Amino acid sequence: MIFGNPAGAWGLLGLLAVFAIHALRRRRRSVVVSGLFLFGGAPPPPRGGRWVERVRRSPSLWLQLAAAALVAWLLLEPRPLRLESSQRVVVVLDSSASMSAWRERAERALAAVLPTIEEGAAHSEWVLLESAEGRPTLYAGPSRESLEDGLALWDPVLGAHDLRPALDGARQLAGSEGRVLLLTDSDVETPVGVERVAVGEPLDNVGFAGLAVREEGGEPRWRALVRSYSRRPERRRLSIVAGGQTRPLDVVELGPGELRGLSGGFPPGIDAIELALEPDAFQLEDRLPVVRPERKPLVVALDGRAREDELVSRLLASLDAVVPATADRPPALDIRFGEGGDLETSHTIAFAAIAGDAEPGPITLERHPLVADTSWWGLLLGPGTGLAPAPGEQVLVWSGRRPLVTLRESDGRRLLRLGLSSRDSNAARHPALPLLAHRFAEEARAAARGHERRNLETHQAIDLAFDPGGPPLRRTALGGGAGETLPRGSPRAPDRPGLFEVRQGEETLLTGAARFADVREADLREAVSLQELSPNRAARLRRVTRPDPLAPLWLLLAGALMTADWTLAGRPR
Amino acid sequence: MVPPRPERPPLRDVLRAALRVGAEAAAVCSLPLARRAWVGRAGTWEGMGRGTSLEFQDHRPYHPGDDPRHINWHAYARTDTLAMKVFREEVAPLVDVALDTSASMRLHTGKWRRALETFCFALDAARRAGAGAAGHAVDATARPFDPEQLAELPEPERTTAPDLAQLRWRRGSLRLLVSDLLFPGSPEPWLRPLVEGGGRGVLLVPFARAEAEPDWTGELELVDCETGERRERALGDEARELYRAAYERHLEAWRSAASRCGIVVARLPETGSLQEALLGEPLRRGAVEVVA
Repeated sequence: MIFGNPAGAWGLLGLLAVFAIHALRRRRRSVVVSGLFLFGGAPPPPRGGRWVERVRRSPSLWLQLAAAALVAWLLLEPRPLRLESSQRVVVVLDSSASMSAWRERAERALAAVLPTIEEGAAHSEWVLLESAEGRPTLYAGPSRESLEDGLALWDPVLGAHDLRPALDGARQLAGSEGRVLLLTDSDVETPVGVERVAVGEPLDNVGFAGLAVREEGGEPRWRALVRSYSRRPERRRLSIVAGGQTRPLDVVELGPGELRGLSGGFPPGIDAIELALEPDAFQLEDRLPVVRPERKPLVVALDGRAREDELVSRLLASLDAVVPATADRPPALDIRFGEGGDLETSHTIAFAAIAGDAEPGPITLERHPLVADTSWWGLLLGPGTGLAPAPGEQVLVWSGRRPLVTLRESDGRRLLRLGLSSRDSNAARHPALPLLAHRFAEEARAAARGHERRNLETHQAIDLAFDPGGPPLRRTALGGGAGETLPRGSPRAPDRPGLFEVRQGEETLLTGAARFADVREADLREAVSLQELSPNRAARLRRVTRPDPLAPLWLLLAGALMTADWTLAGRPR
Repeated sequence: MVPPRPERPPLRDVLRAALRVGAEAAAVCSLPLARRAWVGRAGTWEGMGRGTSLEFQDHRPYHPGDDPRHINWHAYARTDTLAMKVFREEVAPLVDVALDTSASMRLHTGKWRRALETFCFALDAARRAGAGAAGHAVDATARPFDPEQLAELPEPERTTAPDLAQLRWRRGSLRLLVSDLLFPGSPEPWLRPLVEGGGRGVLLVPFARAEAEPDWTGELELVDCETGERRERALGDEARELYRAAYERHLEAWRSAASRCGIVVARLPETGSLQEALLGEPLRRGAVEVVA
């Protein structure tokens, strides 16, 4: 049974009204008499006293109560469910990190709302989804209780994201007669037909808002930003966790909305630390893991002429962490003069200008990432520059009608051929060519396997070079933990702040620090509570219910009760 | 504030009906004129003085100048003394009929209708008997009232009892008063005008069932219809019994006082026809007689 007009429940106040009326002291009835002096022997009624008296259980009371109850019942507009009615209810949980502050409220709100929705049809099919793209369905089935259990799998840790794709998908899943319920904490706009329950409330918060690690005096120093999302002054204790030990660092006092910078160094021999603010309701950005950054080494092999070339020297000086190739350390980048020949390393730069006296022509660029946004204006070329065309190459830069820079890719190896040198051009002093070579060298570094330390954001995609045929990639918390296997296609930093490692077999590829960095989610001052259910309740009710066949009977009965009461009241006493 | 009275039909319509009912009753019942001698103009009823009727009353000595036709010659033959035969006087009696028009009389429709019927009956019966009839309406003031003129009565003034001293009762008249007697105070001073000046009094008392047997219960605010006085009373079975006892004591006091003054008191219920009412207590107590 569904009530078509829940506001009719106010009609139950009629019962209280009847009780109240009967509890009030009766006003004395006036009777005109012709011999008042003859009533001297009759006693006067008690004077004063309370204006309410004990309710007398008279037939009139019961008749009026029954009539009021029937009227309230009719106002509620009871409608029996059609036995064949069914509905699909898709519940979309907002995966934004701010929802982690309201997890218990969200569970309570769903537990309160879902039974009401379940009464909307004789049979319900439930689907529980997260708004995060790519997350698995948390529950799908006929049991509302199981759906509520599925909430335990919900992990709202993402940054701000667009809910519309998830809601559109949910609407398609629910179908035209189904219902879509969004559980969120803000007053977001939703597509037509989506019901929403917001469980937030304005909350003061303080947390880390940014991080940078720079070399100062040859030593790395971290600089962290702490921000107050509060309308009043806030005070937080700051501590540092290093080498397994926690020690207090400072007390941070912030004015309303203030942004404060903090800085410090790494303890000797410690590469990973964690800054921690006194926890509050939103705790994801109360921790700031930091690692001492360390780039992956770029192993470079040079031939004899390259070691002496000015252009090559300037290129190598612009690169970090360059180490020479040895017998134990195969090169990731090979720089040589002459034709490339057989490619033995993944990336090769070959200075291969052809001999001759051809005059250079105007410089033109092809569309390619290596030369994008570079300016070749002012590059002076002497005679004998340019490249002989080779099959399978892509020309990146032209000098007149002759290729000046080409790229060849073969079996995953890349050859960058340069048709000029520092001898016959001003390329060593021109920024374009070193920039092109620098980009290529960084590609070579990224493609090479090796260990690095990086500060990342939570859920950030990680560019990792690994052995495609090797064991699976495993991500574990630094210092131990169960860990999890990462997909090879798109490895990501963990969803929660912390220090971690990514390993392939016994080889550690990455030591990282994941921090929560979405300040939009940390600002809880605009969180709201609201409930917008059943935007098209009337139409749905008509679909899944039918009019109460007994309604005319209740109406007649109510009328009969009131008539009987009126008759009793009119009877002389 | 006195609660509004229930809607009543216009007095003109009630009077028309009362005249008709009174006339019908007067064909059956008459006023008690035959039981005593009256004074008045020449008529057909035995007078208190000597007259020229055929009814012998007494003898007296002859005085010069007496009519010789009334000398009792048989007595002169036996006693050798002239004696005159004296005969009873025949007169037309005087009847004064007064209607109490106070608010208590008009409170109950049935009682008011019965009062008007009784009043019309008395006037009609007096006229049928050849009496000199006069009608009066009395409350705080008194005024002539002839129902056949279908005149309206003014709203009653706020008073507790009709003031009979305001009425000009004719000497030696039969004085009929239609009143409910529902006012406090000693009856004797009030009854005295009915018998002063050789008058004879008859009290015809219409009553309503609601007055005699009230059925109200609960806590009531009682409002006097004449004075507007209010009293709150809790009326249960016991209180109603107390009221009935007070009502009976009140009537008994009036009967006793009336008896001492030689006044007949007879009650007429509001229910039933006027003839039935007249043939009940009024006939038993000699307030009316059956027409021969």
